[in-house]
Amino acid sequence: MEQLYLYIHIPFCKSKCPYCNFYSVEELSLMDLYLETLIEEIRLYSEFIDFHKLQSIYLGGGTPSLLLPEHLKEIFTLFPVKDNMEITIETNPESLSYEKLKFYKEAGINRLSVGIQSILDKNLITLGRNHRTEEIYKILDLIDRRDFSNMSLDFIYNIPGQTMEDLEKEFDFIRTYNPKHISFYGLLVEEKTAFFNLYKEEKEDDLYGNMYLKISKELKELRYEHYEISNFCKEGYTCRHNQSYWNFSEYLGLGPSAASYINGERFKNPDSITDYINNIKNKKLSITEPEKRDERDILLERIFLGLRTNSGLNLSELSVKYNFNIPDVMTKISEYIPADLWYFRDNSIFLTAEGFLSSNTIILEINNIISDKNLTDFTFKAGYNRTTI
Amino acid sequence: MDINKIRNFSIIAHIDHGKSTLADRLLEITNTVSKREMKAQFLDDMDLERERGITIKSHAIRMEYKFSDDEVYILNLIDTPGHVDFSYEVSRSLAACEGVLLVVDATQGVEAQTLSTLYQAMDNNLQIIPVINKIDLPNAQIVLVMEQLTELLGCNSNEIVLVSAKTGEGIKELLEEIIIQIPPPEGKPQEPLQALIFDSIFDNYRGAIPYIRVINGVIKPKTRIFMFANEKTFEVDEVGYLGLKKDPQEELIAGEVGYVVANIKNVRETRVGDTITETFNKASSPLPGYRPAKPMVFSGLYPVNNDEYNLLKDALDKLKLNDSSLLYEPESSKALGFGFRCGFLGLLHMEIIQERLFREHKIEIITTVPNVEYLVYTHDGERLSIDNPSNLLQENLIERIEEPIISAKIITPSEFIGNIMKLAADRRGIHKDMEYMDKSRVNLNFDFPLVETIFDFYDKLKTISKGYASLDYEFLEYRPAELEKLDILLNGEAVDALSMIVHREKAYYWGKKLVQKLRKIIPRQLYEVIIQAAIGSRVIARESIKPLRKNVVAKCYGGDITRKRKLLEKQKEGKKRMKRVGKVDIPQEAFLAILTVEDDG
Ligand SMILES: Nc1nc2c(ncn2[C@@H]2O[C@H](COP(=O)(O)OP(=O)(O)OP(=O)(O)O)[C@@H](O)[C@H]2O)c(=O)[nH]1
Ligand code: SF4
Ligand SMILES: [Mg+2]
Repeated sequence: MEQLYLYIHIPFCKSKCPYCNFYSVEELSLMDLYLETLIEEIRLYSEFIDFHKLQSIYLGGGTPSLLLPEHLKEIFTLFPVKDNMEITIETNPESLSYEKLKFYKEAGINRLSVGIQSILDKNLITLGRNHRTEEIYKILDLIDRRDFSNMSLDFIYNIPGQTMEDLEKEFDFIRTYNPKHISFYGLLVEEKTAFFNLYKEEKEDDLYGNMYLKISKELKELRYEHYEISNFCKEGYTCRHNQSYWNFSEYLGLGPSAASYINGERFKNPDSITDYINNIKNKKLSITEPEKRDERDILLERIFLGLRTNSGLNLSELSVKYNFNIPDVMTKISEYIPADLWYFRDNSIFLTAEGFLSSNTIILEINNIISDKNLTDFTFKAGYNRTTI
Repeated sequence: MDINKIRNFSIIAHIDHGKSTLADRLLEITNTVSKREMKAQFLDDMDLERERGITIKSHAIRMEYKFSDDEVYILNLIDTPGHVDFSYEVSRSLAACEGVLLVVDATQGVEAQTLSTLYQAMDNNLQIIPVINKIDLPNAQIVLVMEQLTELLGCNSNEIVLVSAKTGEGIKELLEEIIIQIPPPEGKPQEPLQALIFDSIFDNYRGAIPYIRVINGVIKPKTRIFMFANEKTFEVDEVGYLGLKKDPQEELIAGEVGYVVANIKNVRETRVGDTITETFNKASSPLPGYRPAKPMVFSGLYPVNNDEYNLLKDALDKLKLNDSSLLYEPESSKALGFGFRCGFLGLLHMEIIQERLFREHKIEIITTVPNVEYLVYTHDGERLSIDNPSNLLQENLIERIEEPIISAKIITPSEFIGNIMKLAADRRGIHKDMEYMDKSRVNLNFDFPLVETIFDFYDKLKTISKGYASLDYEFLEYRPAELEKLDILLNGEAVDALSMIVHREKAYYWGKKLVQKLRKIIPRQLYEVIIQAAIGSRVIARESIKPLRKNVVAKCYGGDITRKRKLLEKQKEGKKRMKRVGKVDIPQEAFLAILTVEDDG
């Protein structure tokens, strides 16, 4: 393929947030060794991957803003950085500084994502974050909006104890600050997190949904496009890097836990910084066996990736590949999925905000309909398959 | 083989009185099983038996013992289950024996199945050796239990053998009593072959393998055998004894117990209770065989995955071979597709069959609401048997409905009489009589509508009597009753598999309870789900399930698409295990909701 998107995982955090299950460790002392290893990994890959095809670099974490300027310098000298590339760094108000911001600019970073999570202290406390509202304001004042016109703010909702009124305050803030891009993640209590023991008894109320619909509605009124389940942006400011995950572009993930999709194969680095370092030291890539996906798996992937964003699920393409008649499938879909959850336009299916909210169920329903042997004249072969688009 | 040296006997008792443990000691003392191989309840070799600590199947095993007369005796033992639901296993075992050990737990005394199994043994004219077990326990009431037994059997107390199956005390004496008291079999080897099939198993390589008791004649490899029931002929491959392993022999003669391999590939071609004879030297008639099992509880069994109907059929055929009390015939349901209506001896039996289908045949099934078999008389003078509520005719066609009544015997310490009377009244029971067995224990007799006793009756009885009351019952007769069909509607459509027949006075109660229970069991769906209970066109209860508004993977997890796909696949698996009726996905538990209705008060 002509294009390549690059993700670099920075697996360090000052302290682990109790709700988080991203892979990160607190041993900041490993940082230098980690950087060395990362550089070696890039070298190993450069034997068969052409980094001239790079469209984006995304530094995610963990906490990439813990990286010192010299670290970043080392990384960026390894790639041919071009003007039209999207280069993002995820930052944490706690570890941002004027110097770092300045350096980001110099290094060519042109997209900033700031994990503010909430602008109310009580929510930040519940979340176990180390920063407070005051620091958020301070940091945002430091950011020159001309340098980083493409900036994203991360919020979390469905925080235990959070109310609809709290949410209004976040909206007020957004209205004033007016960032180009916003991610709003609904907190889900996940296994292997400290929150799991605290809050695993999931309350059966509708607050999650109500908040989600409110956010979607409010941000639309503020002229944000709801372009992915959890992402919103002003026109022209979608995150190009993230889009690559959803439209079957090739991407390479570096660092522990990072996932890749290259040449139709999905693989990832395991969630262990020590394994990662040891493997690479021995000049061995630290990746898992490529995932064995059969045709059914790939169909499911296409459906859920399509429905995740406002690009929608293109039925014309699918109907050719799986040999079904669009009206037949549409009849079934209309029967089994309530009309307020989706719409059909230009031969594609799109989910509404209400639909996003129940998207797993809808995805499985559509998957079920398309793989129904009465509707689809396609023999699903079991066994290993690369995606063919 | 000297037929006079053979002793064929069963161990019978109320549940948990120690039959299988006693069998352990006999296996040990006869060196049938070495100390090293020994484990508690050795004969309970099914996983389910071991997990639940109860015997489900009768188990036959052959032992040898050198008696004080220096002669070696052959002892064919059959350990039987104690639970009422498996009483059919007991009756089959008895037909292969000349005697029984009637075991009574010294701490519990005579209980309901002590009596019922004893009567079965008497009906078969078997020699009865009374045994009091668990005499090692500090709370053993040996004198009291002796009194109960001498009274019951009209024997002397010195005829009762005292043992501890735990410590081994008294086991040697018991063994000698078996040899002395139980008569040898009386068959005639020179007569034409007559062998009773008392059990059978299925072997994937060798087909159906009947277990037989040879009554007359001889059976050996190359014998052409003839099955009376289906008039099929087979050639014997192998015969042998039921030792620890199958132990091939040159022949089995009258009086002996063993197995027959005859390349019987179609499991339907052998039937427990049938008689085997020789094709070219037929016996004039089959043996009396068994009274067919009378199923008490009926339920529909459907594969969760519709494609597995044929697998299910095959699996039921094979289970039937091993459990002849199981009855089934094909039926279909609008909601569930194709399946079988099955008759069971009780709810435990039903549960065990469901488990065995899953474990031994890897088939997941949905069981519909258990019910009993009704007799429906129409105005046209027709009489129909209805074992599936959804087949009940419209009310205006029915002249009357009759329901099965059981006669139940409850043995209890007298202090619980009040509680039991109250429970009986709740369950439409009619008290018949009461008899003191000794100063403190009574034998209460009731008539109950069978349907009132199948759901959690036994558990209730145990609770209100601190575990002391025991129950035995048998079918009595059909009697008219005020019954109606209760339908459950999901989004306006009746789900046939959820219908039940209920007493008029209880219809409202059940309707409300069921609807509430279903609301808890059925997960939220994309559409709102309305659950209604209705009698005819009259809705008597209603609940609704709000539409689903949260099932989403909010986070991107970077580009880890596989992780998201796995999550969806897990949900997909969960969904597959539900049945879709109309647009509603119903979990398996929903069909048995009624069994747990009482749990939440
Ligand atoms: N103390 C003591 N416990 C015994 C004795 N015999 C049996 N038990 C215990 O009683 C319980 C029931 O024993 P089983 O041998 O399984 O009883 P069973 O009659 O075969 O039970 P079912 O087959 O389910 O009817 C077990 O926990 C045994 O360990 C005994 O002589 N003394
Ligand atoms: S939420 Fe962010 S800062 Fe907190 S532990 Fe997770 S990756 Fe680190
Ligand atoms: Mg037992």
